[in-house]
Formats: sequence, structure tokens, C-alpha cells
Amino acid sequence: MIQIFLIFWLISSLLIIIDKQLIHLIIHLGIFSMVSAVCFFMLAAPDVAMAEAVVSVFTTIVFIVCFEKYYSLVDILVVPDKKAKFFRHLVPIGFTILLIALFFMFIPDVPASTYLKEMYISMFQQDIGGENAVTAIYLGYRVYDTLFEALMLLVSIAAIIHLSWHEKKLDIVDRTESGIGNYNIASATIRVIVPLIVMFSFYLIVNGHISAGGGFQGGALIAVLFICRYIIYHIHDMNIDRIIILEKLVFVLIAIVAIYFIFLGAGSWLSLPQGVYLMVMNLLVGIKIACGFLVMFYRFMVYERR
Amino acid sequence: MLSIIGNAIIIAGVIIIFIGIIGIHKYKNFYTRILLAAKIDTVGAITILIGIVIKNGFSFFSLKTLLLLIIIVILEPLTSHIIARTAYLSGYKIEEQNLSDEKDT
Amino acid sequence: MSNIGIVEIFAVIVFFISFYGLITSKNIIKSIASIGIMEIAVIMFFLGIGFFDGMKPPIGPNLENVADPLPQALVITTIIIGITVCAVNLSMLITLCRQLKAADWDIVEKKSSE
Repeated sequence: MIQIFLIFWLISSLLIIIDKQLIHLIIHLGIFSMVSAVCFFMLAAPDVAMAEAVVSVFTTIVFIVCFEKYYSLVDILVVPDKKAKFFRHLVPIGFTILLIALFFMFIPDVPASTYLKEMYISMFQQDIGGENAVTAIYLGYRVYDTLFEALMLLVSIAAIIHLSWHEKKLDIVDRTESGIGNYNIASATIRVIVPLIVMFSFYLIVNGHISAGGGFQGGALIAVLFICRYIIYHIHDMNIDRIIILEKLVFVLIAIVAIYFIFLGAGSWLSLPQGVYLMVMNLLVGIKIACGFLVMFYRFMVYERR
Repeated sequence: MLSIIGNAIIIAGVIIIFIGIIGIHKYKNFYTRILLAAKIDTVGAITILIGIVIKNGFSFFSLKTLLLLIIIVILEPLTSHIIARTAYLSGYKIEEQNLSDEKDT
Repeated sequence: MSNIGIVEIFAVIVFFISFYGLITSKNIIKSIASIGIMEIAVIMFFLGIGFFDGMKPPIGPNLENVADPLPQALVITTIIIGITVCAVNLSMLITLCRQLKAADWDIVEKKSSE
């Protein structure tokens, strides 16, 4: 069963590379993300599949805004085809095939070590708590990874703010004709859907330590909510500075809660109960991710698009 | 008995999707393709989900599938509608040439 | 080659396909998309290491014959990082388009050297 979807995956990645029309990239990236999410689900990793499925929404938005600016700013030159096309493609293809052959020749043929897997699976329920081994690892055993991931998100958001277009005067209502705005069918229908999205995102965050899901997926879904708000009312009056301050605050809180838990341990009298720790950490990570993605969305939608 | 009915409905949904894909590759006009893609999205998906619900009978899984069905019924027509409307607003008109091409194929 | 599963083989092939796209693409947007594909191929390789046929997700009270949870936990953060890296790249590209009015590698090199 997995082989069929892997072949689809290969074909969709080839489509991205081969297609000459640049604007088709958006649709091909969407197909690629969807097929890879299905493959992740087939590989017994529902958390990763959910994260990929939610994140592909933002990939599409970011690429659409980029293409809009690209076609409006760049004067595209029509370059005539050169004659020596075959030889020009022959060298990179040969080089790629050589690299694949070298990789399979020198890859060590030993089974993967399962020492850590056995240890984590047998120990996590008493060490960290909860029933989801993946959440227990990224919030318990390897919490430093999550901390530095959050720091990395903060840094990249700062980079986006630094790089994008600066102008103080902003029109709050978006009046572009090509958008959905001022248009009743879409806004009325999305109003019906929004409560379901709220319910589902908080369900994912709060149940992150028992079932599939967690802070990353739920936080990205909360950011999707604000995209729905943008579509319904077609305004962008969010104060981005306040969102960034909230993000920094939540990052400090994540660090404090994690260090508190690690240094005091699960057994001592001051320590938090296990399920409460995982729930609080999931909630904080969710707020952090939601703030980061929201700033990214508004930067691209409001500042870069004009 | 329930499983046989469910399987039959699922197979009907797959056939609907197959016919829709043939239609997408047959016609070259954009708005006709939108219509056929909407058929795949709504009719095919709804039929398959109803088949799954009937096959499983009363259970928690069926309830979740029904919730998914409601979301699909609300959202899928909206997406096709938005795509067609934005195509019209951004200046894509149905030309006479495209229509005459369709009669030939 | 007995210890390398089909998932790893496909992941390596897709990784080098995106490498081919990276070295041959004329447009910068396509290069950025190739980097995104490369990342998902690496993720697929990681997940393929801990997976064998018939394994279940590592969730629930009954944990027998489950997939390896460690690569999954490492990979979730990678996905979130990937989109932010893509966004930073694209915002740099938009700034470049505003200044040089070009997004092809050749034209950008020619214009920036002047």
C-alpha cells in the first residue's frame, strides 16, 4: 500500500522540478504536501502528518504572495531556446545519477539501533506521563530541542520583519478587487465553520498528551483562524508589535516551565503533576507557534503585498 | 448486509470520481473543468463518506465521519465557487474559440 | 542492501531529484521550492528508518510493535522550521525583486556586478 503512495510522491516531486510554467509551482507544491502527509500517516506517524497538512496552508499563502509581487515587479524576458539543450541537461543528470549510485554504494549496511526506542517506550509513562510517546519525547527527554526550535522561530520572525517593506502609514481595510472581500457568500459560510475550527484546535492542544496532536499542530490551526477572520471582515487591524511582545513573553515562560520541571524532577514535593506539565507546555507552545505564524501571515499579506 | 450496501455505495463513489477525471481531461475550457472538479469534490466525497458510515453502523467512528461530511458539504462548493469567481473577476472570459473547440472534441 | 527499506530508497531518490532542480533551475523561486522538497525527503528518510511493515503509531496504552518515536519527535520541529525558512527566503527574494527587478540567477548576477 505504501509503495503506491511513494510512487505518487516521486511523480509529484518530479512535476515541481520539470514543469516549465512557473505559476504551476503553487498547485504542484500543494499536491506534493498532501501526498507526503498521506505517506507520513502510512509510516505510523500521525503527528508529523498533521503538522505537514497544517503547514502546507501557510506555504501556499506565502508562495501566492511571492508570485503576485514577482509578476508585478519583474519584467519577464522571453529568452529564445538555445540549440545545445541536450548536452546542457546531460551533465547535471549524469552528476545526479552518479551521486545516487555513490550514496547507495557507501551507505553502511547495518540495522538501525533500537536501544533508545526500547528505553523511551518502556520508560516514558512513568518518567514524563501521558500516553503519546512523541509528545513525551519532545516535551520531556528532548525539551532542549523544542526550546531552541522556539528560539529559531522567534529569530526567523525577526528576520522577516527586518527584511520586509517598511512604511508607517497603513490603510486598515483592504480594498483590492482580486480578493474575496465585501462578498457575502464566503464570509457567511466561513462564519459557520469558524466555531468548528476553534473547537478542533483546542481539542488538539488539550488532548496532545493522550492522542495524536499537540502544541505545534493546534497552534498552527489557531493561526488559520485569524486567516478566516481576515477573509470574513477583510481588515487587518492587528497590532503586530503586541503580538511580538506576547511571543517573546511566551518564549520566556516556556523556558521557565521546562527548567522548573527538569530541575525539580517529577517526584519532589514542589513539582507539577505530570499531565498538568504536558498540558501547560502544549498550551504555551501552541500560543507561541500561533503568534509566530500570525506575524508571518500579516507581514506577507499586509506589508509585502503592496 | 450493511457491509454489502456500504461497499456498493463506495464503489459508486469511486466510479463518479473516475468519470469526473475523464471529464477534466476531455474538456479544455476552464469553467467546464471547474464544474467537473466540483463534481469530484462534492458528489464523489459525499458518496464515499456515506458508504463508510453505512458500512460501520452506529459507532463513535461514524459520528466523526458524519461531522466530516457536514464540513465537506459546507466548504467544498464554496471553494469551487470562489475559484470560478476570482477567475471571472481577474479577467478570464469565455471566448468563442474555446466553445467551438469543445464541440469538435 | 538488506537493511535499507523501500521508503529510504525513494527518499534518497527524491532528495537527489531536488538536488538536480537546485543546480539546474534558472529562477530563484524554483530553487527555494527545491530546498523545501529536499527537507521533506530528509524527513521521509528519518521516518523510514524506524518503520517496518505492520507497525502501529506509538500512541495509546498498548505499546507493542510500534514505530520508533524518536525520529518523529525530532522531525515535527523540522517541519515548523522549514516553513519559516521558506518565508525568510521569499521575503529576501521580494526585496531583491524590488531593487533589481529580476529574479533569474543570470540576470541577478549580471545586474549586481554592475
